[in-house]
Amino acid sequence: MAMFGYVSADGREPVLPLTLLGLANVSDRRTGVDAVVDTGFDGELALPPGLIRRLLYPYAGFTRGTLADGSETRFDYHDGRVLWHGRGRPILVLTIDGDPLVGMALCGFEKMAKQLATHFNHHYVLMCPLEVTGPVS
Amino acid sequence: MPNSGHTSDEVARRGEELYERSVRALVEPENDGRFLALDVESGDYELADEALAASRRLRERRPGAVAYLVRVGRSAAFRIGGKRLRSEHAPRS
Repeated sequence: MAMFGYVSADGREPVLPLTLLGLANVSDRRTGVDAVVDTGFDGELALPPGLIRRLLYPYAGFTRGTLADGSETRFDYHDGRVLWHGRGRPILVLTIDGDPLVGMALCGFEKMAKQLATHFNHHYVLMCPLEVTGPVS
Repeated sequence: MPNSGHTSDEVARRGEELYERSVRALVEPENDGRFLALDVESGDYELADEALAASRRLRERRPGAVAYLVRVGRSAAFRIGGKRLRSEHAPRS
């Protein structure tokens, strides 16, 4: 099942609408979110804390990340789950103070870059199911 | 720290010191590039090629553990290109 996104109104950012799922045995909540595809992010998903709380994603711990300016900072992270090509997929969610970001560990590296290059000028983003990686449940 | 959804500076420092003092020499350089989830209380850890796998394995062994997730051989586990963000709990270095 292909996933379709769009290019932001300013023409700069590819955006992928996602359905975030609650964790089994924790919550059946789900919510839609438009996540910017960040090709410089090598994690899976980053969300603001309010959204993480709303979905009852359990706290898991902390990690360190290198930002675009080269500085390093700590991030909390949570267990999460996303609807990915029609199936629930467990993911690791970093807590950020900013808009939702979807990273290359979820999208796949080279194929995603190629898709973006192909479709950017047509103002849409296509995520084909070939790029599904990692565990699926 | 209780499972509050937020890492205090004290817990984070303890985890980072624990890794430097007791774990780093055991896993580098053989596991460089892999992910390591370290229980900041017990010092137990799990290694995996994927971050999610390391974290989940640790939580299976240590439910409720506060993990410090490390990319072995690197100072930071993740690269984040986003230009509009900072970590959830400032200030940080």
